[in-house]
Amino acid sequence: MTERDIFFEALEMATREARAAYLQGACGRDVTLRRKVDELLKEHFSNDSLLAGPALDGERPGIVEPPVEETPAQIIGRYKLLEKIGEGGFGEVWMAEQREPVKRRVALKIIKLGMDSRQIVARFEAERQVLAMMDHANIAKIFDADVTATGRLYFVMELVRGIKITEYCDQNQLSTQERLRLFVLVCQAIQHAHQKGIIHRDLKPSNILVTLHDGVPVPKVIDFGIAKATQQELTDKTVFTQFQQFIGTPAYISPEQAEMSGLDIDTRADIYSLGVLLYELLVGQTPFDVKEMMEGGLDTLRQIIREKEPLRPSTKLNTLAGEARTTAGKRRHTEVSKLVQQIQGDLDWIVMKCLEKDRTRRYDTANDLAADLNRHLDNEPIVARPASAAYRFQKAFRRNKLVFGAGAAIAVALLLGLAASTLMYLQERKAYMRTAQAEREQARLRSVEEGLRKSETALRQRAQAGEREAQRAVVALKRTAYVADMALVQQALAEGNLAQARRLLDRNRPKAGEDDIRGFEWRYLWAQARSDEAEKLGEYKGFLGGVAFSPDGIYLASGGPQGVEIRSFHNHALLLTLTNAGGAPIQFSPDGELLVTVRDSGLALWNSRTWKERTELPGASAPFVFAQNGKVIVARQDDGIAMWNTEKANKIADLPGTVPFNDFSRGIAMSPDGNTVFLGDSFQLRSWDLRTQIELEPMSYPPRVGIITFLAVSPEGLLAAAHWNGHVTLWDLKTRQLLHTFEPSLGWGTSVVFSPDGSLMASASSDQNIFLYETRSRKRLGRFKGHEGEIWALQFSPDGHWLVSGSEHDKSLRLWDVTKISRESEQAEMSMPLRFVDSNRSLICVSPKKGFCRIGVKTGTIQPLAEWPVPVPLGFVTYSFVPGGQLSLSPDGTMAAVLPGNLSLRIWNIFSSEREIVLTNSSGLIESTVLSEDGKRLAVAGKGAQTRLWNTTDWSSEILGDVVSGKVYQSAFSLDGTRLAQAESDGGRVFDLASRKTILRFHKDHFMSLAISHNGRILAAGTGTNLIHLWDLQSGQQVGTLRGHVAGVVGLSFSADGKTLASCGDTRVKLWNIETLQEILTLSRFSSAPIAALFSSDGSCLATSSYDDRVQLWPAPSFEEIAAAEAREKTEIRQP
Amino acid sequence: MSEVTQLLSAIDAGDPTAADQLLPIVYEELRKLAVVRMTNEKPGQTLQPTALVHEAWLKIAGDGSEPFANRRHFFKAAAGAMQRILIDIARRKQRLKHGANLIDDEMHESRIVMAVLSEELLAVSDALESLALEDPLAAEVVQMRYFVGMTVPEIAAALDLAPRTVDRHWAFARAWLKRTIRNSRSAVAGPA
Repeated sequence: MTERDIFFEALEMATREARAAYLQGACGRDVTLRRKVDELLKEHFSNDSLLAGPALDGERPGIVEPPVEETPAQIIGRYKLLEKIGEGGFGEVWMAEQREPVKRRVALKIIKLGMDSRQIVARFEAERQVLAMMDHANIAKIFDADVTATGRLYFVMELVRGIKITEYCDQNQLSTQERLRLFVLVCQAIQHAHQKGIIHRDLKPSNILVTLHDGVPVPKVIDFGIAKATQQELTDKTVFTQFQQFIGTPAYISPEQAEMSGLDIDTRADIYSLGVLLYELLVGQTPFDVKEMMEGGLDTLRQIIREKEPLRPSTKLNTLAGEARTTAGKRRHTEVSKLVQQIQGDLDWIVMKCLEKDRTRRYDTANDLAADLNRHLDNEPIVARPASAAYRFQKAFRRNKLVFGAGAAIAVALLLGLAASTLMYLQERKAYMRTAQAEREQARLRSVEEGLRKSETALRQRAQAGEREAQRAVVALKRTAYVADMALVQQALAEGNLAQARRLLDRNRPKAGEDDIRGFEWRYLWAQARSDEAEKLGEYKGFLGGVAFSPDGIYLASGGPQGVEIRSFHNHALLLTLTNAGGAPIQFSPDGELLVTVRDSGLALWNSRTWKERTELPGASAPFVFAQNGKVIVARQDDGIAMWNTEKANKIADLPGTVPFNDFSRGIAMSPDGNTVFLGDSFQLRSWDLRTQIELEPMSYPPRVGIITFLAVSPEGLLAAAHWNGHVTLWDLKTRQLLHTFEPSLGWGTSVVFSPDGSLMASASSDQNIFLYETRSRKRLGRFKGHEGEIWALQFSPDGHWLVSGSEHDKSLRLWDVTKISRESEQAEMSMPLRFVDSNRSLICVSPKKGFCRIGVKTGTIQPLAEWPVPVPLGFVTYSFVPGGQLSLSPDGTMAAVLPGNLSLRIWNIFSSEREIVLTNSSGLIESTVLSEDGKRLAVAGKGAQTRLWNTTDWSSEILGDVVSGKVYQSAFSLDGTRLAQAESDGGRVFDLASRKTILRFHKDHFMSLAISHNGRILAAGTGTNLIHLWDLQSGQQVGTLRGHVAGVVGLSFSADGKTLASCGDTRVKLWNIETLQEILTLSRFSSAPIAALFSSDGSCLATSSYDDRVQLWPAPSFEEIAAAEAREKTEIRQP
Repeated sequence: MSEVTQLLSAIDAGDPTAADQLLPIVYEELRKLAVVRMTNEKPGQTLQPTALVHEAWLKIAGDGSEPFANRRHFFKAAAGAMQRILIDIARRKQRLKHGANLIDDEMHESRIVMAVLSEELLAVSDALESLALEDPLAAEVVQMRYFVGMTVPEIAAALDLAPRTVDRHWAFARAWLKRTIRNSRSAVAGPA
């Protein structure tokens, strides 16, 4: 027997013993044979991988051959390796020699990973042209990318022989300032790349090398374009190890990169990484501990990067102890305590702004970051600041050049404002959460869209049918993204953030060749996002903290630390700039002879005829106010307030009682007679009689409104105070009582002013809005929007016609026409919009009290048309006026059909009251009536009767369909008159009027409202619960259900373009995007439940009415009007 | 393809040289197919030789007119050809490790990722030569199983054997080869 035969037989044996016995017998004494068979059996039963399966197996993963070592003198492509100059997780860097086309030394970065080299090279090829455009002394050029013969990816780059920027700084013990200067160069390099559309994506010290050129350190950013080509591979958890290997350290990656969706990364990711680098340069450590980040795996890593708030650099420094502390100081050529001082404040904030989790809160550009650092280096105020209201406040006045006791004072300020700032914080947090949520939805949608775009490309290569499908999917997603964006616009507008609203609107403008998916809501929101200002008077380089009118209205002074500008208010021309004027606030004396500005050393008094400085009141500072006909100035001094004589420029008296001024400004104001001065203090309003120089009893105010930030007094003796929590309070100075607290703004109040006659009040706040109030009624009349930053200065013109405001952030001075305030809501006391007439210029409305009226859509004027000729029956509630309910109006607006009772119908000419016709429905009740759009047919329907269709020319009639069993709430004709739909309490129906057949019956629900789209395709019906069902009238299929209302849907209207459906339910009107079946806009400023909505046929207006007899118009300019307005603005900008 | 058909018929008729002539033709055909596959496939993807061989067979006998016996002959030839292809790839990978450059033509095949190290493949191939001398049928089973990745029932069909028989031959061949490889390795490493 051969060993094979024995082997076969042995395998048959069931047990080890049986096998042994068999082998014993089969091999006998042949020891060699027995050993060979034993070996075979041992191999057979051993469980190793050798020959375990096929050499190539689709089921088993391929294995990567052990890497090949590169060796010197090896030739890779056109390059000869010379010397290994670096090695890391990613692979190796070699110095190499290129022979052709030019002979030069280059760096070759050879990637170790088993990535898909070819795809990376392909991606790199796509980028190459863009990368070639980068030409900057601080950027190392990248020349080439290819694959070695062994399949390893390599990049060819400009050879930089330098050391990591962090190492360079430490080795040379650079001071903080020197470090910042070096870092600014890096920012400028990044800015250059960003301007070319290139994001680095992997900024970290090892990618920023410092070389010396003639002894001057030159930072060089390397590896541009590499991360983009390679990081796209990293999208899943399974690549965590690769991630670790390739990225090396996660300390520098932005939260959005940590998500690793890999799709939506923009330049702000680099800003984040720059922030980490700056942090490390300042502190010596990265914000998060890398070990901790990597320990818990990818999820922990992501969580830390996404959620954990880093310590401020100065705080982190302070936590250093022992050797780390000594080293940190030594490396920066100083002591840590001094370092902390240097970094605390500006640098903390600059770094923290870069490290914001929400990238919209970071610096927009690397230039902005560099600019802020330069400002800090030049001791100028910086732009970055944390969201805390307490800080903003403190900063505001620090910039105002108030003498400011440093650290301790800030602490006091913070303590005082604690309650207030907590409130503010909560408010902001809430708003932020909402925005963040919407942003997340956005990001998700955009990434899905991006994904689909990619699949679109793939599909295109395969089949045209596929391409169309993909395009449809892309379009669908675009629509969804559009809907989400409109929600964000609303959010931004609610917060008064016009800049954001405009950005969001802009990104939904169609690009060339794209379908325009925008509808009514876009145009409406566009109009809402318009600035209300009459004119922009000037642009400023720095802080704009004060405006003042000369009492004669001739001069307008404005300015801040950089100088005070004097303009002619008549023609707005800039006349001159006062340099060395100090800064805001500024004020003219009551006689107009003097202009007062604030300097560190004291108040500067300028002669307003010569514009020469007349004198200075040393030691006097802001806030200040003129008293006793301008002869006296009451102003703050170190720890109290004092009176100065303006003529002699000397101090008259110190007013008794200390005022802890060294926290921050308090409002100051003078009684109309000039004898009592009022000062806002912590939760009390203090006052002094200037004649006796005695302090009067303080008036206290509720802490919840926040401390007083600004005071104003009206000629009638009312005092208005702006508060930290955004409230404005109104006081009677005679009774010394608090009269009213106005609804707070979103930001802290910066100013409050009375019109010269005291009839109006205006307030400004850091939330970018100016509010106008009627003093007597205490009604908020409306707001002026347009500023894109905090407003810090506000003033009425002496004629009361204009307001002038200055914003710190958008650095502009703006002029507003008080008479053209955009009213909070434009409401007419009318019950029901019936029909747009006169080419949509007017709207005919009706109310039981006033009869028929015409409202001008643009003007809002109401013109009575006709009395209500029939006595209004008992129980004839507004609610039933819904067009297609109990009242209908012919297209020319002359003929009305109304149901005075439930058995008859009256039709009459509303102007002449002639030709009154009374119709009866013999068989049952009449509950709804509606006239067709051409006015030729009239449909009436009611419970227990068949629907009747009247011919309005000869008043013949015919019967449609079955007897209606439920109550009929509303009927509607399609625009072309071919269809008639009815909403009934137990369902509804649609008739085709050509065939007289019922083409659709729906029983689902209790229907209260309906509308047919203008093209006749879609029927929308609102239920008594809270739903809107949509049917396709051609197929008879239900196409969707809109959910969002919380109570019955009682009114519906389609826009003419069919893109939008308006619905009235609960206390809101909602607009729906029909393409996506998504809610796109909510109108919620209703005093009572809205019951009807009506679009004008040109889409320029939506009219709504509410239960309390109010009609509101919601205008939306046409795209043509929008284009014209925008073109006009452009030319205005070009012609200064 | 008619040349292949003729050769297959010749093998069936008992022409001893026909099989030797067929092998290079099938080798070339399979190699081309493999290159095409690898060019189009995502990298990192493992080549499935079974699919290749079936594809090649379909090209020859797509119309179903080939006698079944020819299919058997073809699969034998294909298994041999596949072994050569894989050996070539493994050798090339070995060479690459020692710094050689590839010519363009060789690139795509080199990207074929195997489930085993090239050392193992070459060792199996060497040992297989000895096995073929001792037990040609077992060697054929190994070719089909290891180099082509055919399943036992597929091999049974191709060789016209009972699956159980194929199973046993594979078990024996595998144990035999492993023993041989292990012994040769310890011989190289020297006595412990």
